[in-house]
Amino acid sequence: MSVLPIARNTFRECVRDKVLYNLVIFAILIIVSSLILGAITIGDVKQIILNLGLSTISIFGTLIAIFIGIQLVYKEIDKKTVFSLLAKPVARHEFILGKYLGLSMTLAVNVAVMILGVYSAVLYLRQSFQSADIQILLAGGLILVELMLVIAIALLFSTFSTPALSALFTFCLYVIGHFNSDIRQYGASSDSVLTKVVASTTYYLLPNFGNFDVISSTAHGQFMTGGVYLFSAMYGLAYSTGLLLVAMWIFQKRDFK
Amino acid sequence: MRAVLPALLLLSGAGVFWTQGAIDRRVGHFRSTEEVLYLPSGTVIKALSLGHHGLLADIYWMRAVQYYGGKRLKNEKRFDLLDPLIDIATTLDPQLIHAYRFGAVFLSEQSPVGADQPDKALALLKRGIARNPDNWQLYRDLGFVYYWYLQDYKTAAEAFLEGSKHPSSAAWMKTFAAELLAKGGSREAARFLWQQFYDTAENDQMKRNAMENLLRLRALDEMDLLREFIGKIEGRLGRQIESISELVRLGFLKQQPVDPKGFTYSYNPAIRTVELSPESTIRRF
Repeated sequence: MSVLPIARNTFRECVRDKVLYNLVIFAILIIVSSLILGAITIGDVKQIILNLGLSTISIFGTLIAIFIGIQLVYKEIDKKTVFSLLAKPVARHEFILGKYLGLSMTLAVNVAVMILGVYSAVLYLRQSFQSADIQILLAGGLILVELMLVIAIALLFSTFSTPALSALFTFCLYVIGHFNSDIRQYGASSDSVLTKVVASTTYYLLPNFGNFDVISSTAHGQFMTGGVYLFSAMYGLAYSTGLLLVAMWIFQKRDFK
Repeated sequence: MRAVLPALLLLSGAGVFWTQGAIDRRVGHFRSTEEVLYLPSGTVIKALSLGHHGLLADIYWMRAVQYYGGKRLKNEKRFDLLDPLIDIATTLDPQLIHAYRFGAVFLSEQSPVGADQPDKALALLKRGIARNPDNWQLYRDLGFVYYWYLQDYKTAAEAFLEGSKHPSSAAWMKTFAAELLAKGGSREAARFLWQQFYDTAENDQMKRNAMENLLRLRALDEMDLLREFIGKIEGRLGRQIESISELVRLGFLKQQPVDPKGFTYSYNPAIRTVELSPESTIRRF
């Protein structure tokens, strides 16, 4: 089983590439915000810190997922290191899975440290924690699942396209994924059966990033019930698995000669 | 090279600072972006926010606060962008309660303290209530705008009564609604309401505002008392008093009375009224 060594190596590579340096920017942002927000606005500063902190985690993470994700496979092919790697007893699907898990591990560390930063800012502002603060952790978990989905999309495109195009495709899919519910609504309000079917099919086919939109509710301290967190996480993992399987299949079929 | 590099960096930094300053001094007026909304629709911004509408709502709310504060500092009377900025913030985050509550105060206050647009404040609060029907404080604020800024006591009482139906609402809401219907715009009712705002204020700005209004009401009471006192003295002396200091001179008062902020009251014999000193910082409206 070569998945774990590849994942570990990808993680080390990300650390060597100074990907985690974004944590410094995040730390500065959170500290400065905690200190000055009270002076420049009126209202609940904690709510703003949560919006700012969780949105930053999501934005930084998405940028890392896209720009590192699109190079995961391409770099190995471009530098021809993929040949020496695949010459060893490493199955192609293990290579893809290892790369995916390696970047996911990097982002998991990134998200975990940032969530810790958000908790520190909340503690600084309120001097104590409340039971509702567990939502910050849940939101962080859901953001990580969202980022894992973005990695899967970027990785899929990087198996058959150039980095520039992969970045473009991934970003487009990310944006469209945020408008997914609008597509469904458009279909529902149409009288045409064909439009309804196309809209509904598109709705289920495209990734629905709206499922991971818990930042605002977390900032307001509204706990989502009915297993929303669980089902959203399961949705993300199921969708990512599907994309990874397609990526593995494409990579398996790819001729490197 | 090692010694030259920091010097060159410093020099280029100074160059950027100096040239930017020179450009701003020449074209600054034309580049002012203060009165620009960038995107006028909250719905469009929400769609483009890619899930980060909460953060954007906070940014727009901060812009509204800064806009309001900036206008106050410059003593300007027009607050054209205030309502659109608050509208965008609350469209992006319909549960941004403090934007409805403070926004209503900013919009209702008379010029130059606020935008003098109580109708827009009412519309904002009604939107807030429609989006957050469980928040009784929005009813209280709605009643307050009707009561304080529009002197529409009947509608104010209806709003307080509606808010009192919420299980978590303050107990005084119902009784105050009845009192309002009975006594209308009495000073006791106003004092009671401001005291409630003072006691339940969630932050310093709100507390300060309530205190300013309580001090104003105290000054009004004191001026009434003084006027009554002067009337009695004039009756006893059989002539008109020219100033409050005359009362001190004649021994009717030990010292010149001062308002809650420490400024002496003055007496206008022409219209027989006690007034605040021109220097007094007590609110006049």
